[in-house]
Amino acid sequence: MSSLRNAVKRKTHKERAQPASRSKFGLLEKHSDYVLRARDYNAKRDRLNALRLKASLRNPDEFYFGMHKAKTKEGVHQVEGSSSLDHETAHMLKTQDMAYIHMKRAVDIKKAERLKAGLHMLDAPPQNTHTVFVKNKRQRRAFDAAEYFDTAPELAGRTFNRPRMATLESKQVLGAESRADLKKALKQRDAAYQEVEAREERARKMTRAAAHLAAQRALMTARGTVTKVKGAEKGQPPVYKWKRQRAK
Amino acid sequence: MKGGAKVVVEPHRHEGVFIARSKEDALCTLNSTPGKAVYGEKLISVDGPPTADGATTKIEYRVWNPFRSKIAAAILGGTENIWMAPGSKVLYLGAAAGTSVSHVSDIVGPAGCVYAVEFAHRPGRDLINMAKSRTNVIPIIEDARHPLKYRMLVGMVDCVFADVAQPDQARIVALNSHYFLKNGGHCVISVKASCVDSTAAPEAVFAQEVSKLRSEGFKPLEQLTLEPYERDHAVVVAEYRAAKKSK
Repeated sequence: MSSLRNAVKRKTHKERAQPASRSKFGLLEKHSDYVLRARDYNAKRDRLNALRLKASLRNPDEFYFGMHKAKTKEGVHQVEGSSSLDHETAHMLKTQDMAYIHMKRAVDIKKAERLKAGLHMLDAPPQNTHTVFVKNKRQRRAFDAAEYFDTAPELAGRTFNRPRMATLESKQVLGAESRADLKKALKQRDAAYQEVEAREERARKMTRAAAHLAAQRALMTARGTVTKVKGAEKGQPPVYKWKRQRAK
Repeated sequence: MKGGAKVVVEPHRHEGVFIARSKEDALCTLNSTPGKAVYGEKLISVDGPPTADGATTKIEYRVWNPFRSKIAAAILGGTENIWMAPGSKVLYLGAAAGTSVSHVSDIVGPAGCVYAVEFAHRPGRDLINMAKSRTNVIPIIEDARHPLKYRMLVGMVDCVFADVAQPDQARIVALNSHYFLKNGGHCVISVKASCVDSTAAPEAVFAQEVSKLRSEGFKPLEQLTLEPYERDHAVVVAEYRAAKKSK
């Protein structure tokens, strides 16, 4: 017999998610997630307990024929090491490593470039040379930077912006009113500069790693006698020399 | 970049150029197309001074990358004058895709004019697209070595900027100046030492370029290298056919 319950729609309750303000704690765990986690924990605990029990009830006189060949070190069984890679496989894997290193290097360089588009190193001491052409020796002797640039003497060394006297008088600085407003933004800026430095340093390391890997790969395919010309110095790999032989 | 209260924008000695200090340490120009970036550069918004009826205006700036643009590197290097004031006419040789040209167009404003010359077709296409939204940019897809070919498009200009990266760039600049640059006008040339002569020392190359300019009627005013933005590059600022001061 059909009842009114089938006809009247009931409000479906939706699952509530993690609030946005707590998003740093990740997914909000529900009962189903808890059950998965608890089952996994309990299964592992039971397995470990079973192994502990077996170890405590070990028969010291046990023997298996496999014990003839097996090796132990300080009472721990040493699993036989996998056989080393053959030459061609190793060469191919090194090629893949090289591609990965190149990719990581490119990523770092691009990210550093993108950051540098907005960070122009204004507070750094000036590194360029600025030559002013004057007419004669008298003008050279009487040259005064503040006068030439028409600026206040304390601003004469401020290479990135030496405002003229007219600009100082008429124009105003726009934006934040106090240093407190700017503090957080300035901290982020310092962090951004450090990130640029760190990324460029890592890109340099990648270049060095790639050079070492390229040298190794070249050595693997070298045929004939190989002589060492120069040892490893300043992060560069050692230099070897061999006669080029035609592959038959 | 949001937050009017978290950015400080100070006016630069050159009109039309600004320095923004906050999360970014950037040189910027006033955006003549607010809300739109030309080549994916960052936009900075600041609360302007309140208007007469108390409403707050928002002023928008575009960040100018000195690692890509030689003029920006020269400005941050401390050049005394770039001679591209608002309302002036500028002939820009070697415009490429128009990224620097858009900033020069912001500086000269609607009263000024930028004649951008670029020979290659692909960057020329980008230049034309950029010029569609900026009415003070006139794109010229022609070889700068033959200024006669575009003489009907260009009037007399106040400043010639050259970033052509050619070994005979002094000759190119001189030829264009003889046709288009007014007496008492100025030229700003970016010299790449390895491009002009890759074997000589950079200092020698710059001195050679300056002497070539002198022989063409230019009076050099200043020369500055573009470290740390570029290596072995220099910008030379010179005056063209300066009026002789009577003693």
